[in-house]
Amino acid sequence: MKQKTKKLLKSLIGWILYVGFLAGLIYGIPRGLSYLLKTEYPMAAITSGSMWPVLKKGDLILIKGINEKEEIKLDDVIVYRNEKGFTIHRVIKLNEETLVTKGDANNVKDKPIKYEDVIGKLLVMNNKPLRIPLLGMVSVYINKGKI
Amino acid sequence: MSKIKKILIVIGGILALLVVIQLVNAAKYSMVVNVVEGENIMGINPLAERLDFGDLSRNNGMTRYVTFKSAGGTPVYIAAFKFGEISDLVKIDKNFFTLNSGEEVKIAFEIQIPPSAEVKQYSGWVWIFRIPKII
Repeated sequence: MKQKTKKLLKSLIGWILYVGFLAGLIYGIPRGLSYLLKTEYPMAAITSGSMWPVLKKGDLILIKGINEKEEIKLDDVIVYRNEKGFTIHRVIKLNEETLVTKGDANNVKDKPIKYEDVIGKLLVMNNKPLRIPLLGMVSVYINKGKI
Repeated sequence: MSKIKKILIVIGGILALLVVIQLVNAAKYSMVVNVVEGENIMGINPLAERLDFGDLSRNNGMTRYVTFKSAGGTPVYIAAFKFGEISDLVKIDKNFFTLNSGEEVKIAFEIQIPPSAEVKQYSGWVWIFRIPKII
């Protein structure tokens, strides 16, 4: 009887540790990334095909924060805030006060935006965007019909 | 081996068999499109055994249809899954629905070539599952 209780207790502690570890990961990863990438929004899910084929619907991308407007270059893929929420498009023109973006798969360019609306730019490695396919699918389904 | 283990193995075996049957019975269509240079180019390929969208230039689109009829006595659940490079370009107008007995439905496969598409052949597959709805 005593051995059975001991076994049960051991298994319970194991489960508590496992759940605690998972919760730590879920809580810690975004905060860790936020610190490393110097942005409030270190991750984003791609919810449309406007940047196809560079970014695909359902991709999870990493965003690097920017401090100065000089850090934004032509052809960078940036994330900015607008009335619809967030948009992830490519920079096609840099003006003094504003910048113009366009989705690679779109025919029309976006309205000019202010530099202060830019949240960050897509994190790239060896000129390739860092993306995790399908991991952003949850966000795609939550936002279905909204965008 | 305990009785419960044996029952679980039998249930698992039946489920695995059902999955294999569905995979074998699924309607499988290969999809292909040739993205070509130029404007307003549309070369139609009227093949019935595959969803061939022919030659298309950027900013062009085309729709092909597949008709399904439930001839049996039980309704079937239709689910279509796209694979391959072409799958990002193709939209299925009706998916994940129940087809009642005797009912016929036309599913549209619409392709749209965005301006960022490369001049090359995009291909892939669509697998359409027809799962009988017994309950």
